[in-house]
Amino acid sequence: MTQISQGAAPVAPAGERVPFEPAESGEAPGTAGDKAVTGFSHTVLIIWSFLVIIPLIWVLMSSFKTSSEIFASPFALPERWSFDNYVNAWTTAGIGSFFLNSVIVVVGALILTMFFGSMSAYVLARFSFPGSRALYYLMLAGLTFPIFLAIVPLFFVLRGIGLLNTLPGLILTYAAFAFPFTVFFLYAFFRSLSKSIAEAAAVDGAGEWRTFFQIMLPMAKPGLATVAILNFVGLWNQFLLPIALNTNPDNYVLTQAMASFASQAGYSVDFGALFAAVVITVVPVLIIYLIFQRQLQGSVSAGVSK
Amino acid sequence: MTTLTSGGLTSGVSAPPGGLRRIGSARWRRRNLTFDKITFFLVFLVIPVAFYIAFVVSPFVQAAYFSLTDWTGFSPGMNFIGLSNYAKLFADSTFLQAMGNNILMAIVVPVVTLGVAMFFATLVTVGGSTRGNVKGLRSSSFYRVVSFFPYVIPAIVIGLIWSQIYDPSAGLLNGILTRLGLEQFASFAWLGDPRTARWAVMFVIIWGLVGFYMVLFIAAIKGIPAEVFEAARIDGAGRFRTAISITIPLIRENVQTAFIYIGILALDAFVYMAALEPGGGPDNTTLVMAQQLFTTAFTKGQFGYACAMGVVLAVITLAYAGLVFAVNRFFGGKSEVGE
Amino acid sequence: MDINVKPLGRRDFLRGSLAAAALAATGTLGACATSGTGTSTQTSSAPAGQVSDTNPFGVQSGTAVEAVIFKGGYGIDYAEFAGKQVEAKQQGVTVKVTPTTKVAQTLQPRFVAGNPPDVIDNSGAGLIGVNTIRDQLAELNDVVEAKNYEGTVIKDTLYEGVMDPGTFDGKFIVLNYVLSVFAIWYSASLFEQNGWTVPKTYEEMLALGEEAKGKGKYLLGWGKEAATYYQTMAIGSAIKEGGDEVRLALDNLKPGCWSLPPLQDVFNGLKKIIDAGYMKPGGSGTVFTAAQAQWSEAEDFILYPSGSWIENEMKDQTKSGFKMTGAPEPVVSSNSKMPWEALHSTAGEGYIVPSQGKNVAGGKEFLRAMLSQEAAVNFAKTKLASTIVKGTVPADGFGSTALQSQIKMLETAGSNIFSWTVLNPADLYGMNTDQLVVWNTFLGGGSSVAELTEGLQKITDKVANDDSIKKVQVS
Repeated sequence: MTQISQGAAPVAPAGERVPFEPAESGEAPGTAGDKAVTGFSHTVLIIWSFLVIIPLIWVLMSSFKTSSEIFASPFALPERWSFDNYVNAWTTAGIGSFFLNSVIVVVGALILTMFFGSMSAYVLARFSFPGSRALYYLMLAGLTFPIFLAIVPLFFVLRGIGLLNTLPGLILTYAAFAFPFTVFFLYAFFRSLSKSIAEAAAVDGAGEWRTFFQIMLPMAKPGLATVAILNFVGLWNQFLLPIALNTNPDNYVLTQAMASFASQAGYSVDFGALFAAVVITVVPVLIIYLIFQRQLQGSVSAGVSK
Repeated sequence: MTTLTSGGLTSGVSAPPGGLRRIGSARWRRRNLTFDKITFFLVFLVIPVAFYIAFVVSPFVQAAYFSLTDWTGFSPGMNFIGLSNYAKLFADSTFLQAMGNNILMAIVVPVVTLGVAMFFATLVTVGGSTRGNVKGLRSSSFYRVVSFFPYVIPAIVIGLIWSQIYDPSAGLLNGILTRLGLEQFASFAWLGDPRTARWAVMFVIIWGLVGFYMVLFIAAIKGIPAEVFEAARIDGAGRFRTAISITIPLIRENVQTAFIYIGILALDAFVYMAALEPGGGPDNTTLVMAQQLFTTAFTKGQFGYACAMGVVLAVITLAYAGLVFAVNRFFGGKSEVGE
Repeated sequence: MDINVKPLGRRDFLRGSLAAAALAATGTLGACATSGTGTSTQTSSAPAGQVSDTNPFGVQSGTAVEAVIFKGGYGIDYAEFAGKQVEAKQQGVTVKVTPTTKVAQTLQPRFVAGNPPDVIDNSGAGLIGVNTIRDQLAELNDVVEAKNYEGTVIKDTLYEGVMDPGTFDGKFIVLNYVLSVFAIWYSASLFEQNGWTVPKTYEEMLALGEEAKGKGKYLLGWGKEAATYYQTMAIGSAIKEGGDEVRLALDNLKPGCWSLPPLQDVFNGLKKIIDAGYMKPGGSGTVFTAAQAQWSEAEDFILYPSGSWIENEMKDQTKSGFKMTGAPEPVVSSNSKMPWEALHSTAGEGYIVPSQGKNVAGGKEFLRAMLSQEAAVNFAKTKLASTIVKGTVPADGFGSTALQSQIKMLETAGSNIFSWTVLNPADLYGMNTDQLVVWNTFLGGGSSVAELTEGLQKITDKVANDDSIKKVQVS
């Protein structure tokens, strides 16, 4: 009977299927109904795009205004386009050095959690053994409990291994808290990889190790990229964990410095600087996204499908 | 390897027919225990899970234990008091109200977000001409990229942005409305009126998430072989029917994962609320459990009690996930884990 | 279970069950795990040094003092200033000042571990509820009994009653450093221009509302996080009207305390103002700083009840020539128990010295430095706010009209200065969050006086009836 191979969807080697690629341009002259639908679609999506873009532009514009200007009129353009707010945010919050800390911590944790996460997700998806279901739920459970209730026990774990207030300690913690998310999403992905490939590898005499590293992992690349990007966004913005576990100002990560700055800007009612700080925090992530978005478009379904 | 006949479609498939091939069926057999397998399992599962248990699970388990004590959160000592925190919890009208708010959000936010995301994804992918190949819209990549923007912005910042937009006097929203001549909105407090506050905050959360799930669904739909759509068209299925009876069933598992993940978020919602409604909103209409928990733990110094709230929150979230699995299975999806 | 009966008890437990697992994991990976056994078990304070008039707490040379300071409206530079003083006065002592914005979360684990910093500025939205940690704090009587850097006994240099808000069940454990006066604030220039006078009763306020309306302005306004400033004003007015009876009923969470006639009169007075439409609408959806800017910058409304920190808070958002000035909270009637001039004043910015800190003497020395004339003047000058140290603000208030009026109000009030313990601003039981909800509704015109009273009473009763919350007996 009919067989819709789910494995085919995300990763089947090219040529085995005819991918359904929406044409990006050159819509053939269609029927009147088509035109209506197309027009309607464009209208809806353009309205939505405005809904997304306007607030962001408004923030960008406000970041150049003085606080008085912000209060005076939400629409008016700034009287003069000065970078005072940015200079203020950059120097007061000391962004330069914290930026580097953030990069170290996030990249370190990302490598660790992707490594652990992909391995565990693969095993859970590939083998059925007693307790595998319980483990899956354990991963899910890790996503449901509020982090700040775990801070005190976590503090003792880190102190016990001598990594409190250090970047390595923060890396381990970040990695551990990103782990369930990674497994949860990659699990679904590995399940969609065809069993026959693994079996073929086994027939060829490849052990489990080789099967994973030489066959499954390369096939999973799009999914890994997707989860990695999502993790990057999540970890970059993490700020509950470092508050208590990373109290040495030299080791602050960007979000801590930003929170501290935002808090002060809030007290001294400097909304212009606050908006500038917002722009500074968001821009690196936005750039990463724009660079990797093609990767994401091509693979996001893989990461979460089936 | 893909074979797909139109037979399955004309019969009005609501679920992929059986015979799905998956990898999750390798059985663990003792006699297969080779050195290779043992080290493989050790490194691939035991070590990562031990790491996870040490850093995530064990702190949570301890927190769960704290829920049975009167710990203040700062003292070195605590007394075991059994389940009285839980008894107190279910008599606490504020917490129950927060729970109700959370549950409402866990229903509305996923349904609206995923509904809108699916709608947009469908428009982008199959909104084009019906003649020739099934086509998407022109400039669909523009819509995709733009829609994803909000997901890149930290939730706390999204909250900050929107609390400015909703500002009664200097905010963008009322500014636009009054310019359109709707003077009654001149000082309207969107976040301060019990009739609007919860919808205003839900809108913000939905605004922040639609793009992500839209991108997710677009990619998933693009993964569906084009022949499926061609076949459906030959059978005379309209766009709407195609979406309902073909697209959604085929990306069912994506929808399930999406539902669970967004549900977890809606049941938490702490960060959004911290920026939008730090005080719980008018008449506590936007108070969520995580907020109540936070003040209880840190401002009121009743950490044990707060941990009980955390346990309840986790249980509700797991129950929600279970419900999503069950609904999916009920409508013919495959089981979520194992065999 | 007792986390820290024996200093090692908890750590052993954790090391056994968790850290070992973590070690196993990280160790196997060859990751950065160093030593699982090397943590120190030091619990006792540094041995005391020689006690003398210049070193009253016996800080030992070579020790370090760790100060964790809330970084909010006042910044941390004034604390660093005091730290420098300690280093200059006490040979070989180093002071490390660390800022934090979330005091409770940053320090919670350290309290549990018995390793808190030596001195903490426990302030801001994320402060640790003092009720929670009061058993873990050092008594500070010896600080105020010591001589300051200028040689005067510190106690004699302080304003009257400033130790009261830091005293719980007879123990003085929180040194509130900044003196706050609670008042209604206005622009003297705007009032002069329009020939308005400051209202002394709620009736006069209502009348002023009508006049303001004539000029296209509102009388009052509020922000969602600061709706309870009106509660503070209401209680102040009610205490002037009804005296100690009101204060004690509220402080001791008496049943029906919110229904006392003086409070009801104030609520009714406010309700009339709200119903007349003199309150700028939309406050329940406005961030409080934005609302305050509507008063100080845009002059959309003309009176604002707040603490004296308001000037510093809004200094970049105040119209030039505004002449911010304060007046005592209004009274209800002409036969009130205290005169209109009576002033609600208390101290805030609570400094604590944990008794388990490594260097308790150092923490106290830090406070002693902060209470020196030099540090107090430095604070008043840079923050335009008075500390609890008397005579640090010159008559010109460093050019600040608000500071001038604050000092003048204090002088006029004489001994008629009052405060209370458990509600705002001290908020001992953490009730503010719940009260905000009730007040936002009321100020927005969404509830009656009866509903307001019932709502507030419910919050009070909930705390009063909860045996797990330790109460403070106020007399």
